[in-house]
Amino acid sequence: MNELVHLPDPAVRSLVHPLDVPEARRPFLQYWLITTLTDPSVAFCVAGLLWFATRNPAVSVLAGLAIVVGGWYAQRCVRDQAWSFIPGKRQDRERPLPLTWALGANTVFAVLFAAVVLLIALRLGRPDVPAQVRVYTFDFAAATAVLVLASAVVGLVRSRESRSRTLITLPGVVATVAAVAVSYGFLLGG
Amino acid sequence: MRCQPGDDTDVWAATLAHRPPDVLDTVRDRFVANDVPPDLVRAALDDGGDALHAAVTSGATDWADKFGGPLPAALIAAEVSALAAHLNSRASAVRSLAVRELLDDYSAVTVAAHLAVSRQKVYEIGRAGTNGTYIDRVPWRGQP
Repeated sequence: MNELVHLPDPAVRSLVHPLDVPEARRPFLQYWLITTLTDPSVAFCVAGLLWFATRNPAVSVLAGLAIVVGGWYAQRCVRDQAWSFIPGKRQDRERPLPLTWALGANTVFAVLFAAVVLLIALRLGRPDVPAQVRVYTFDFAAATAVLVLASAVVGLVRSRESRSRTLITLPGVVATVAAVAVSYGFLLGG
Repeated sequence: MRCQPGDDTDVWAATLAHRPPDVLDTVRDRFVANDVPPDLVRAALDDGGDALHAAVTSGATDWADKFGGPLPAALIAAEVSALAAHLNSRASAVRSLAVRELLDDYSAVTVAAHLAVSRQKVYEIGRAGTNGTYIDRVPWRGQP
């Protein structure tokens, strides 16, 4: 029985990732796109945005669930497809994704998250919301942003290993801090 | 009408060895309640249902009489089916473990091509694994 897939020479590279096999790159890219766009945190943000757009909580909850469930099923199919080109013993399941891919995935979430925070700030900024509620909510958000920022700073300076782990979360940190800072203008400025 | 299994318990256990332990008593009680002796069931399993098939295709109106009537014939035929299903799962379990071994050394693409099934199916076969215990010998090979 001969292996039909043209794999890298085991002497040169014993563990193989779909990105090393030309036929497997496309399904793996699809897998990455689907997991990125249907991540529960992304689905949560999309559900929040839909709630604002449609004023209908049922629609947003259903959409969020559909994204997560549909995405989970779809990613499983293409993930299996990508790994099906590599024998089990040679699968490099632990290899981290290229940094730009991980940053890209986190940027998608960061942008959506910032949009949701800004929409909440806009809503809280309307005159029907009592000033105390506005201040209270903003204080909590600001405290959270400070904690997020502090943990990122600690992660960046603590060790080389934690630095690379923290680096890929930076889009989310920047989005949180920026969204809270802009919200200050809506809620308490002027 | 209900007969006591009495000393036949061991005979039934041997005859219905392909049944999971949790349903064995129910199946045996059903045969006993309908006056089907274990040797009749045993004979049908030994020939893989040949006699049942020959009787039903003979065209005789009283074909079921030698099995005790249509109800016992239906119960005995169901037991042949249960044995066949058991053998089917036993073979599937072997296939599953063999495919798992293949998937360690070859890509699913290659395994699928050699087994003439889809890649998705290859993963399904490998995941199935074994469930439960299986008989060591088919009835028609007799006792060792």
